[in-house]
Amino acid sequence: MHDILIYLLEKESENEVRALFSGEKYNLTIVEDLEQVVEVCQQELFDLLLVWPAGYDKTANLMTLLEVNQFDYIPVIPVLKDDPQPEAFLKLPIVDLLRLPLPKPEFFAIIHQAIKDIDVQASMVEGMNWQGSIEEYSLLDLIQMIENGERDAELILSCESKTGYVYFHKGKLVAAEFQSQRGLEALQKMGFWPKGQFETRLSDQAAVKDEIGSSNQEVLMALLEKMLKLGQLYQGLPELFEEIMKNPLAQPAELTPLQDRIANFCQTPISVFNLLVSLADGNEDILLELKIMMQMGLVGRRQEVEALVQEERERSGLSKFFSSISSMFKKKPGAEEAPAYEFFEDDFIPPKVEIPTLRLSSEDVQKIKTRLEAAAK
Amino acid sequence: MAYLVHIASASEKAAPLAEKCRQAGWETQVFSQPAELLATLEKTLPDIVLAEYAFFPRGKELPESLSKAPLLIFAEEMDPDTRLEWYQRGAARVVSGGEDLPARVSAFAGMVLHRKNTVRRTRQTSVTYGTLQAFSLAEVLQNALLEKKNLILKIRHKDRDVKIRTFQGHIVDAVTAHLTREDAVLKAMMFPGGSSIIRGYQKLEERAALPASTLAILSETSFTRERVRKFLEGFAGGAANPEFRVASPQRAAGLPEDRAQVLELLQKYPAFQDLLLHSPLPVLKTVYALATLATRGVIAHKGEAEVVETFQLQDIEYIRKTLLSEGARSGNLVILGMPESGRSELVRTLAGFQKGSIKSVQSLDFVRIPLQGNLTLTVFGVSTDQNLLTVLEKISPGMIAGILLIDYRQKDQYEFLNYLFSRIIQLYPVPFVVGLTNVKGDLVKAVKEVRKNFNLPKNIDVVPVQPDSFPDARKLLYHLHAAPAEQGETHA
Repeated sequence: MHDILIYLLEKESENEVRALFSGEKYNLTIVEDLEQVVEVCQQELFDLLLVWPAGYDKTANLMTLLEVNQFDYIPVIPVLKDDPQPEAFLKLPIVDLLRLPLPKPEFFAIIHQAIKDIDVQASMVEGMNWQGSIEEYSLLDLIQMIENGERDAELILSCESKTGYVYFHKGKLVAAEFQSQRGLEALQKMGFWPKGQFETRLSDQAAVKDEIGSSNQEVLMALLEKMLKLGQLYQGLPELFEEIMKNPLAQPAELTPLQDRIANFCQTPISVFNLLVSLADGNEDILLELKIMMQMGLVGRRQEVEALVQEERERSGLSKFFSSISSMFKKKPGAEEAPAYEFFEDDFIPPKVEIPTLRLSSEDVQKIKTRLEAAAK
Repeated sequence: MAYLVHIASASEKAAPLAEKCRQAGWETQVFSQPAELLATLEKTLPDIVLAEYAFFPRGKELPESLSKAPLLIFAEEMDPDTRLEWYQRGAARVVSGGEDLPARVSAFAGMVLHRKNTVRRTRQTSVTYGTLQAFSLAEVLQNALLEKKNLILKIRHKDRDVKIRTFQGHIVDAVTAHLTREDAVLKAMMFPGGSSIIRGYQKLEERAALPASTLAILSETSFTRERVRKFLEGFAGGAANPEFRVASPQRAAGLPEDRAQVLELLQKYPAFQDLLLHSPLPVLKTVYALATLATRGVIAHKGEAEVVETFQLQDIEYIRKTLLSEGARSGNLVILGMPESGRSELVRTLAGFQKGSIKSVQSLDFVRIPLQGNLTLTVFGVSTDQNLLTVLEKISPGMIAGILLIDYRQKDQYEFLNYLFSRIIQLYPVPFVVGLTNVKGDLVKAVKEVRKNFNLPKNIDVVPVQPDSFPDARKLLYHLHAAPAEQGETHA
């Protein structure tokens, strides 16, 4: 039973669409404008989107909208009716193109095949894997779910190119690794991730040594406590995935070793998330120091720091300009100071010009005569 | 992306098509012979195979190696039936006709590659998915409830899908083929395997189509599982997925619609799990239907020994020696009982297994059962109404034994039946037995209670019986004792 969204561009086609799909094993949702497309995509898990009947511009707008809203996992098929230029659609990231009229069995064979080709369940190997988004299943969720089933599992978490590993034996947390950290420290580095991907591989972990020691409940409580503290500390700081950077204009100050490390990482723009996961220090300590550094103006939001630098550059550029101009008018050493011009408001005396009388040699006179005679001929 | 494309064509179309593919940035290899293509496929798996229609022999199964990569079939011309046939044979796309065929083929190949690679990968990172062996549906639902999640779950096992929505952790809707709401959730809960695909959704409010709470459904799941376990334990020694067979099609006559549906399905899906999966009925209804069919002897589990469906030689010998007078070749067995006592069913049980045809006249059913060695047993089912004595008088010549069926539930009939039966055993000095039907619970207590309420001679046994069970019917015959006791000798 698949869910199909119809983006209906021609109200009159609705009956045709409904008649075609009646008796078929598909759940249809029909919408007529782009806003509705976004709304229903937020509330459903569609297997296919048909644009009916498709026009190039509207289909292109739809595809952009889907991509912007991260609904580009929904395959789109434009259904054409007498479109004079179907080849224009080939530039779009569509998964098929249908041209009506088409025999009904062939129509359904094509859309069935398209759905099958993107179906992640169709080729799933029966067994031990589960993967997905951390937005839906956080580390805390996954620990509890694995514990409930008393499973042996390897849990892989990844976000922004960082990857961590957590190991379970009979549902109990036995080990965790994240970069150079291990055990609870590693778990604390991963516990707050608000997004990313996870993958569970249920496999024998009997050989993994228990490095955690504490029970799952104790670990969960510790993680929860840390998360609450982080939430409190986080107030006033930039968004987790917002970039921050060192303010090059700030006056150098004496920094603590951690502040120094933060400053080093912030030489180039870095997200708060990446800063937290890149430093081996505890997240709370990092956030505390970061807060202080931001208050001191040593580190700031990338946009703000860049704006400040730009402003400063402009300010310094303008002053250079003015100084270069003023230098032009600066008195040179040893030269007599003279005004550039003088202005007389009253008693205007027109200037007197003396032109010397023109005098020609006899040779010149002869040359002129010869030329004039030649021209007259 | 640099895809690897195999072009299978022996015609002049191969070159321009290869050129188009190269223009798209794909690496191409052209094959003019099927054997050459298949040999390469064994070593290298391309991203797509573009094959000209005439390249593979029509009507033949496509080689297994060809099913590993998507297949696009192209032709200058192809009728709709042939195109459909190619889709049925596993083609991902069929392209025919139109201007500039090489350009069109490469364009459609691009779409197939885009969906199989890019869109599929995007989908993999946009949803949560996995097998139910890793995390069961119950675990996912419990977590949703605990974390108050809005989720759309699509559960699949074999060719069956169930879609469930949770809002703030509570199940608000569920649907599958033929079933909705709680029944659909319970169906998915009973899937022995399969996979799930999950995505969160945003909605401010949601209207719940399910009246039951998620916790109630979860506990109903435990109850259902227990019932299923008990059924399997009683019926197939606890095997998780026993196979059924139809033991007696004759006994299926007159089945209610739901049981008939299950019986029909059973012939297509003999394995229990498959039957449960494809049944249009809710889980427990299906299991109850199976239990009834099994009790009636309509179905049996495949590992079970064949049910004795005919009178055995020893039975016939017993009838001949104990019930028939010497030299007699036939006799009448009379089954007496009120409506609902199971009288007609008992006649059917004896007749069904012996392939006898039942005739019914008003309150009388009768059937002639041929036994071995020219012996015939005629079974009469007579209702204990006002015509009983008249009817009995007519059939009494040749009466060799009688069975009185008492509906244990109908206690208000006891007094009347006691009076009637006392008269009958006085009038007809043949072996009698009392069959006690509809007994649920303590059988010994039920027998004692009937004996207490009935003025029965010592040698008339009271036997709990299921009228639709042939072994029970056969057992009754062995409780017919030759010498009727003198009236007044009663049990306490």
